[in-house]
Amino acid sequence: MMVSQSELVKEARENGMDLLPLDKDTYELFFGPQHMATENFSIILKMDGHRVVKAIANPGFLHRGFEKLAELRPWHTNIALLLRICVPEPDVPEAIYSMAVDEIIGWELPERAQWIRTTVLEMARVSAYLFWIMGLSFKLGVYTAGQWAAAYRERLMALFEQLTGARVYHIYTIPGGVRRDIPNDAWLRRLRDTVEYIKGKLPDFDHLVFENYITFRRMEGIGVMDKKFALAEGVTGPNIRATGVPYDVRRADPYLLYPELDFEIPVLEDGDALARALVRRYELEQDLYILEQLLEMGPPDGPYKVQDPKLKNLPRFKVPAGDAFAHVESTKGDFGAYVVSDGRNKPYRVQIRGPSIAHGIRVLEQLLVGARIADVPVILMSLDNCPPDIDR
Amino acid sequence: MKMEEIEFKVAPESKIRKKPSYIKPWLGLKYLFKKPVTIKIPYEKTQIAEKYRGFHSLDWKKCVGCNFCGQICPARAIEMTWLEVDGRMEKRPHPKIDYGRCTFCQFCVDVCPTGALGFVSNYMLTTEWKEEEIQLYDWVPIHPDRIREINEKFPDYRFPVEKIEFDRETKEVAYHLRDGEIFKFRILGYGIRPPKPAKPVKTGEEKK
Amino acid sequence: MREQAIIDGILTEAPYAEGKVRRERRVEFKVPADRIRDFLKLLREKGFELMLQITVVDWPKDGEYELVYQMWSIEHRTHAMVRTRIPRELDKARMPTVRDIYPVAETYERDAHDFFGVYFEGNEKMEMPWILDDTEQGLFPYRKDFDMLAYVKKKYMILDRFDENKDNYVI
Repeated sequence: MMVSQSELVKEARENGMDLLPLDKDTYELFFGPQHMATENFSIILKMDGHRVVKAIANPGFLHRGFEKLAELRPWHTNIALLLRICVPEPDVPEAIYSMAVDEIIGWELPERAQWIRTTVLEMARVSAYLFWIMGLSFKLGVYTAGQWAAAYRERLMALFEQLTGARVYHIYTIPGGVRRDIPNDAWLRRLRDTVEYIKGKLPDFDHLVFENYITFRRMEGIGVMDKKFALAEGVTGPNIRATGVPYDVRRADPYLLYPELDFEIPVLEDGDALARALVRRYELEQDLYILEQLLEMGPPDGPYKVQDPKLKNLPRFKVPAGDAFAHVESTKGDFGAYVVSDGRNKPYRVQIRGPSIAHGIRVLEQLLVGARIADVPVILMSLDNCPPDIDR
Repeated sequence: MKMEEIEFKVAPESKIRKKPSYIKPWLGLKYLFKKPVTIKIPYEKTQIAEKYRGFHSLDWKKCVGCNFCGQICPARAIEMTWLEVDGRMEKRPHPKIDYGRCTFCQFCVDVCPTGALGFVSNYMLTTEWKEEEIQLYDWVPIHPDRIREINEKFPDYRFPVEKIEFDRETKEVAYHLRDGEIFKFRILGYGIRPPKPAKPVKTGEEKK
Repeated sequence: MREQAIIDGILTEAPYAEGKVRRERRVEFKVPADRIRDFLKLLREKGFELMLQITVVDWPKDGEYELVYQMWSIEHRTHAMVRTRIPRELDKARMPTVRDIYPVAETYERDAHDFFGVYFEGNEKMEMPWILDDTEQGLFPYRKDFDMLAYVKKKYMILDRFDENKDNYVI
């Protein structure tokens, strides 16, 4: 039990010592944007000793105005722009934008396109979780596990490179399907090998990170939120599942091939940083299992994009007037896009709803109150806050 | 909340929970005796995917100057350029690509109606921060076969041109290719409409 | 039909609203701007627990902003769009806040205010700086009549696109 400041002062006064008044101990700390844990995001902390009294999130360092820029570019071109909203898994903004446009046009995707899109989304989830393990281990001080995660993610990036032609920003999913077919059967075999390989390496991560007593000491009981708070604050994804709400977009609002796939949703009741980390750890396992099922299924035959003569003339490709909302489950939460068309060759309005706009502002401000300064990066990482979602 | 209505499997808590251990973290030590996965660039080579989206190539004979690539380009990196090779003006303008703006999305390649614009897997784009090297990455791409020939000689995925000389007075451009050949042409003007023959000045066309 | 039952259940208690089914798991409501608080309170009681986003769409030819409250119900597994229209003149574009009903709306309202100039009455953080810099506040850049290219040309002279002589603006 900690001795409170006022008791300390009282004790000191009784013993004839004169401590500084309490408000001299509080100070303002600018946490970020150059701090590695915040990733181009800043929090203004009012500190009392090493405890946070008040936190104010200060976003805006990554604002590039994507929603406005998207109104000035042809429909397909926006893929090259909007995927920059989420760096660890750029396929998610691609997929939601494409799904919304598909819904406005009323396209029914060919089976092969659906299979490829599902596979790409799951590969993106695995690679984003590995990226997150890297971040978490760096913040916990377990640098070795972080380096491993980066090395295993590299294998997925090589697969993405062969499939899409780029490593980080794939620009692959387009309205009406995908841009390229699967290169060859060797790629599928390589994906299977990679899934097996990463699956075999999961116990190593358990040993170093998730079963490490340091992790438990650092993460247990910090940043606690309950179910009611999480629902009111719009928390989604693994963060809400760690408070006991089994909400997963892949099950609640099924898209692509997910109704046919079998997977479990991890739910814990604790709602602290450790619960969020364990939920993510189990989801990584489930994603690998989904990839195995997809490979078992095999890509169906057929075209990999919609056969529409309009797709020949992309600069003048027009979408009928209408609007649609589409969302998918990313590793950070519920990622949604609202697209409005007025019948021209450019979108009328594109709004991207990143999960971090809920996690990174109000939730973070409230979870940080009372935390120690060393816990701030851990809480940030356990929420998996991704500032580009907020700034857009 | 009526959770029983929703049909999905919730993982049993025993599978998710972990027990803290003091001994298991030391198991990571076994990797001390394994080979590192990192490779020493530039002393070792990386394997690039066959269809890596790298620099562009352009078949000048096939290019019809339709400006589809300029219209689709999300970064506005492409401008149509009127060229003169060996004293003869090309009948159609050709795209000039600015790699300072290019995002390598390759939508321009997708929309090209004749297949003139393509891409090669060369991707190395480094300079020594010299003023004349900036000129290097704003070019009208050359024929894919030519790039392939150079790649066979120098398999290091670098830009196929070593140096680009640009004369501001005469608008003459000389590409010094990596295998020693010099390729010369003259820029007559920019835009979709042909430049006036008497006064070959840049027109500064607004493209819609 | 499941979606129709949800709409009927809500509309019997909110006769001022209109509702329709868009497709499976997607419903849509049209609500007058002054009843939005009553309607969202009702929605929350009816099981729409999550507010995903407040989207503002600018329609200059109607002289109106369209506000779309994107709601998600975990209980019904349904997405609901609650649409309302307000005038787009900056002094008239005012809405009552819903942050006491959905606390997360505070963030979305700040976002809408920064980029569109919709003022949410009752939200204490309305005047707090959000994403835009001090110099850009009050420009409301996502409005349709904001000339972004002209602003960019004015602000970032050096990033403009010139020909080789750096004197002739090309695109």
